[in-house]
Amino acid sequence: MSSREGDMALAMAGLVLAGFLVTRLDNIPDRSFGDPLGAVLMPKIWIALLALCSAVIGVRAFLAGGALVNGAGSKEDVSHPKSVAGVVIAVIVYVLAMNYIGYYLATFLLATTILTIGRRSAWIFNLIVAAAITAAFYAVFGWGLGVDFPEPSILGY
Amino acid sequence: MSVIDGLALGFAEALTIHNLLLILMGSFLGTWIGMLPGLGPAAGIAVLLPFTYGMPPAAALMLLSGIYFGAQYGGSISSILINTPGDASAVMTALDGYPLAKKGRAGAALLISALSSLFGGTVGLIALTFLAVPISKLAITFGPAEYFALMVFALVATSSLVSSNVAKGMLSLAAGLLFACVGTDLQSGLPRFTFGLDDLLDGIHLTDVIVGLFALSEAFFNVERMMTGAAHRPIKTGKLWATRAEYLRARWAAVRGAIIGFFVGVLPGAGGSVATIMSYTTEVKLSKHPEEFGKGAVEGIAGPEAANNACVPGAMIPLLSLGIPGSGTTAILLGALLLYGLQPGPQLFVDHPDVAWGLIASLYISNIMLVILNVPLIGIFVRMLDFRPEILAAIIVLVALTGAYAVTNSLFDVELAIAFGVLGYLMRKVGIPAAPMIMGVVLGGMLEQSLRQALSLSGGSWLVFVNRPIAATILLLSLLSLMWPLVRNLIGAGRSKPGQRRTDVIAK
Amino acid sequence: MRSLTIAAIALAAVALSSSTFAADEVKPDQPVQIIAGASPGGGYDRMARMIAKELEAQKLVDVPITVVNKPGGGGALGWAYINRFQGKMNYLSMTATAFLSNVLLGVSPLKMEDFTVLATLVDEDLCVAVNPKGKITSAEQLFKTMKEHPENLRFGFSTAIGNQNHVLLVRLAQELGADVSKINTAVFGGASESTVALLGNNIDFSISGGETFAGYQISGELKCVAVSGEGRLGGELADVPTLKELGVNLSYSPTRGVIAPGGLSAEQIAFWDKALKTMSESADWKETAEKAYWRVDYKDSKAATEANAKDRDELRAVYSTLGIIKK
Repeated sequence: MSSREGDMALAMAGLVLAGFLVTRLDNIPDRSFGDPLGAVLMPKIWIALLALCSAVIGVRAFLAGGALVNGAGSKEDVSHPKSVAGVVIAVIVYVLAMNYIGYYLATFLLATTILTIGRRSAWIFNLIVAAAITAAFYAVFGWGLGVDFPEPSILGY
Repeated sequence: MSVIDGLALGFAEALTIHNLLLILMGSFLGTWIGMLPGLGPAAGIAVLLPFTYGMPPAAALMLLSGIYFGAQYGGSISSILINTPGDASAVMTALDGYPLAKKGRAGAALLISALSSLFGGTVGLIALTFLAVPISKLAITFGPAEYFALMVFALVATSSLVSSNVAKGMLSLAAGLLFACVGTDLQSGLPRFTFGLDDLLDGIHLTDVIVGLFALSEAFFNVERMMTGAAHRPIKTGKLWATRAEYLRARWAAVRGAIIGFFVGVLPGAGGSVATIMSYTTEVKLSKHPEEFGKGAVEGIAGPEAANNACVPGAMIPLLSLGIPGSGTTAILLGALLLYGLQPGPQLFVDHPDVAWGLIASLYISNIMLVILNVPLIGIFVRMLDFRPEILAAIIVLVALTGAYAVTNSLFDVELAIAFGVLGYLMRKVGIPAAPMIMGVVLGGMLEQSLRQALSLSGGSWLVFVNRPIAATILLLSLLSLMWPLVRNLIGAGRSKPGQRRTDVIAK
Repeated sequence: MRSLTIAAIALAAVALSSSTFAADEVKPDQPVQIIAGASPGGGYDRMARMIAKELEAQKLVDVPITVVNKPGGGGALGWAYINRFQGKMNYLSMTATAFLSNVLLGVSPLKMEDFTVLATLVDEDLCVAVNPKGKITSAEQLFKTMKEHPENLRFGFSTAIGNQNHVLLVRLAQELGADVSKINTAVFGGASESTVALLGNNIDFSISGGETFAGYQISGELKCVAVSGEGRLGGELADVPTLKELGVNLSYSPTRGVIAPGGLSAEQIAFWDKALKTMSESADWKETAEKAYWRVDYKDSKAATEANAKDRDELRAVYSTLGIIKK
């Protein structure tokens, strides 16, 4: 994805979002008991700013036709969106599964998954490290800070 | 009781073996809690509160405030090392601390951070000890109009941050401001942008934004680096000590940061997050080389670090002298005081001087303890970066998600954090800076609410911003600040040449 | 070897999470969670911690008790949270006026009938406070200005439109025949913020629970000019006259109570009726409540539900006056 296309996609996304948010504003009744500005004015201003900036970015990208320098520098150019998508999906599954299998088991599985994505070898090693990580989390959060984690529901909770 | 007598009493209270151990424990715990993203000092204190019921109140407060101070130190450690701010007041430190660490100079970043923190804390404490009463008198005159002016000032200063790409920076800011609108609107009581979700009634928790934008998006990038076999980052500690030139630059930033942090801390309702933003943006504004920020400018570390440590004694002033919390964390300390049966406020110094002065003395001690604890550990912390990237990634992801959960015991916050993580990742891909968004989220709420409060109270008259001297002054300064780059360009056009780079900018 | 490791880890994971096979019986056998719908330091949180402390100290339950903060929507978030646990008796939440008003004001669709009202525990008399160095320095002056020049008054309160503090203002204005919509009103995020505003003379008067202002009454920085209950408060506020004493025929003491998720059985309710009543009658509780300027006034589940319904009707009337509800 070149910078130019990226920017244009960004601009489109920004404008669409601005439009969408404007429709959500209608859900807010305009109560008269309150302050002179009301609850709707400031969001409107921010949405306008959002739309304006998106438009500027889009126009610039359209006119530039090629040599747009990405402000963030070349460090962020290593691109492997598939693996990131994989991790994101793993994380989402982690959250959803937590209610069924409980926090510790889910954490253990997620740790294993991330480690496996990184190191394709030494399966057992990954499991041990994941177990160690899970144990450490128990020590710090579960025991030390007394956080109340979700519990497995398949056991009749 | 005079100040000197009070201090003497306080130190006598604090310098017992028992209390010293408590202060040490609090500082130590606080550092670790501060390092964990999502858990700030507020959460740490809330969690440990029940354990303190059996203790004498003075001792309990020493423990809790040790945590408060410690968290300011700790938050910056994870900011610098893994771009994962421990809490809102550590976010600014990550903006320049992490790039500096990536250049292999993590040690220098940590050292500057620790020293600035020490400095800021000390300045704040001295101001607390001697200036508490007059400062609090000034602080309470700040009404909605003044808060609004302050927010305008902070946001205007943000404009200098985005000079590299104004449109993208402002886009980020606008998004942040909109995120701040999500939730129940204070003035009208109406839910905005909540999409019918009860979980959004309290708005988007800052924790989730920080955890997502920084920790998770950084973790996603780590995953990419792992996959594309980008070389296992050679983390050279670099020179553990900063260069002399860096010290010099950092010094004034720390002074400014301490002053800003202290005053913002005193203002009820504004705490470390606002203080560090104001310090950072001030440094950018005042710097002769603003383009260095975001790439490892030491002022960007020194200023906010001094600010967030000066903020702690600042926030204690309204707590101890008026019974009003100066920040979110002090609100919990207030609750703690009430639970112990103490009435905070001016009576506290009269009825329980040992508690009040003991607390102040313990902060002095904690401040010093923290530097002694942390500086030698810098080497160890840096070595932790040598873990294999996939282990780091796993730990960061899990710590981030767990931290997001631990604050409200709600998986919804975790889901939000994930969403912000993806957002942060995408933002970095298209070159949208994260800093303005954070600033929008932090400042947006207070900006809007104080504006509307001010207008409500003035009967709709905008003149209120002109008639009130403090508000008018701050707004004028904001205007000047906005004009400053133009002015400077006009002046500078005749002077320095583009080739004249300062030789102390390190690039290893 | 590997499968053993997996089995061991799985067992450990299961063991670490406390699960239960027994259905809830006549007392809570799972840890009790008290949900405070606000951040630490506020009224909900204070009461939640008080209850937790007392229940434990008096051994009224034999499971651990934790207080969980879920701030949002004046308490709505906390109530929405326990709403997910229908039929479970180990979840409690604190309520105040917002519990009844949220649905009226459109903040949240949850109504009282979705829950089991377990008790009202205390009445909270509200205090009207002014700054002695400010524009308004006495009750008479306040009432006069309200009637004649409401637009000259600046009122600040916390924490949300339509809450008990706001309601008192509206009813007071009604009694006095004043136009409440002309009073310049700002909402603050918490009691400390509105107090600071009053201390700094950025507002002329404020209304909050007695405890907010007690400390300042002693030091003289603020002055409470009226309390809203039938009788006077004690402690440092003993000198403050009631509205009735001042000639205003109004008495308003909003209640604070406890609820549980809906769908509790009669036995479950009976347990909590007994436990909360015992707690409420203890000297310790009375003492703690008094320190918070709350009056102990226990009503059990049935009585509390009726009282709440009545309060809700009154609120409806107030909000219609304010013009902020459509129904």
